[in-house]
Amino acid sequence: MQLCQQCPSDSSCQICLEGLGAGNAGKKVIPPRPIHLVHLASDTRYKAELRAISRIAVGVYGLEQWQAGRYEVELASDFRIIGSAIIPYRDSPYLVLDIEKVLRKEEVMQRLLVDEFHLWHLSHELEPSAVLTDHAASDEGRQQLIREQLDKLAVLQNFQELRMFIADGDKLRLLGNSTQPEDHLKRGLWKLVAKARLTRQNVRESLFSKEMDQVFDTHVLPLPDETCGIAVLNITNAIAAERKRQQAEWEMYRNVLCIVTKGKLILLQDADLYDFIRQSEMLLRYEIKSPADLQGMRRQMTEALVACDLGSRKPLHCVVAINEAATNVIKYAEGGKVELYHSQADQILRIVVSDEGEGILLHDLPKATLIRGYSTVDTLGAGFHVMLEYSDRILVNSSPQGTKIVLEWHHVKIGS
Amino acid sequence: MQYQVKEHEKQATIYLEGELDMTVGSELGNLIRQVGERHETIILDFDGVTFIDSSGIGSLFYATKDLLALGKAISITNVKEDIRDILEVLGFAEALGLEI
Repeated sequence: MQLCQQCPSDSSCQICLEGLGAGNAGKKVIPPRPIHLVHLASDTRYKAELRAISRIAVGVYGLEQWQAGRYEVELASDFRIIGSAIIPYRDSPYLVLDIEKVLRKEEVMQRLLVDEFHLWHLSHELEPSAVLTDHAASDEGRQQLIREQLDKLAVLQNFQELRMFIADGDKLRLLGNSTQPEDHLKRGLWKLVAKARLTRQNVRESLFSKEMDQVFDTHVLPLPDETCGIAVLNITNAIAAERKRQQAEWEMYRNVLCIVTKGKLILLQDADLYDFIRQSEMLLRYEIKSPADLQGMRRQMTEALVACDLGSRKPLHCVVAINEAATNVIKYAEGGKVELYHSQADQILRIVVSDEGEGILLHDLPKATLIRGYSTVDTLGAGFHVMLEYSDRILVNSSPQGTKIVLEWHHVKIGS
Repeated sequence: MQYQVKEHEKQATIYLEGELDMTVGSELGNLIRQVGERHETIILDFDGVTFIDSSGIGSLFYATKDLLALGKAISITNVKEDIRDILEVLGFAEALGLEI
């Protein structure tokens, strides 16, 4: 059996989910999320797409011949899953991984948790199920901007549960009103206690509940009398509130940029872009890695645009705008790709210029896009200004996983 | 991108040919500065320029600005209509107080 042609978009098809063996608990990842994974035995690194997910397994699509064994999946640079491979469909590029462990990098643990969430501010994920996009919720979020701003203040009130213990020999003494930790958490605590005893230093790590739906910020402090003090803070709600706040902040930037540019510059969620692209036909795709590639890209784009019958001046204007976006990709990321799409239904021509660079920080966006001369590299710094001038609308999606710029030209019919 | 310089007693003409994009780097700016040291009047001939963008024009812009500040006369000639259009969006001539 093979995955369907539209995987994972076709809502009537369940093949990718069936492979997870999680019954109804699986969910499709829409849009599919680009990820890296490493085959641990051979240390081979693959690019792939996360297409389906459940509490116990994830489904990954790549162009590779998958090997048996264990893989490490990078969901974000500091958030990983270790899983063992099940290949549900013979000779298929679809790989299912049974989740064994959720990892977060040591250096991340050292930082304040709030900083950590900042890194993910546009990707919104903390645990696998949160990778899923809920369209209805994001629409509702838009209308509740003010209420969400108020949630900012609520963050501190959300440390709902603080439990304290003393580890004395092999016994855990409860302090105050603390309740017994569940077995899974208890095992995690004893590991940290062992580490603190060995190193004679404070240990701070994030532990997860067995179901991975609760996060505990855990501190272990070795005391002079060979016991250890333990504080376990349930920060699940604080994380949710912080993520909500960042969503609200993002919405605010989006509204401001939209108003200032009279609707010409729009911040975009990945899922929205995915929807646009699904309804469009790809006319051209060009990889750009170095400044020398720009000339060839312009040439091919011009040819494709002239064929679109836009009139005499427009193809040049389009190419000038595309060229500015592509130049940014080379300057700020290690290259990327330029894709030309046309939607016959909407009569919109779209250029998607994407890279896997570090992204533009949210608070840098207004400067980067609106102020002429803002640029860290010695040029005129007018790139965005040129794009705004020569296109009908610009959509921007940027996260620590990369940036996508979409240039749109409206009322474009191709053919009769 | 290719350049040709023709120098007369007090005046030099730099003929530009090809596409001015980020591959030009600081090369063009340096050339303009060098020629500017030897002459009072510099003409930039854009007849052969077929494409221009904000990165390609950067070094030309800053070199021209410096020479204007030193009191040199700079003019840009033979600009094709398409290129004039882009220069206008970039605010090039306006920022330098030049006519093209």
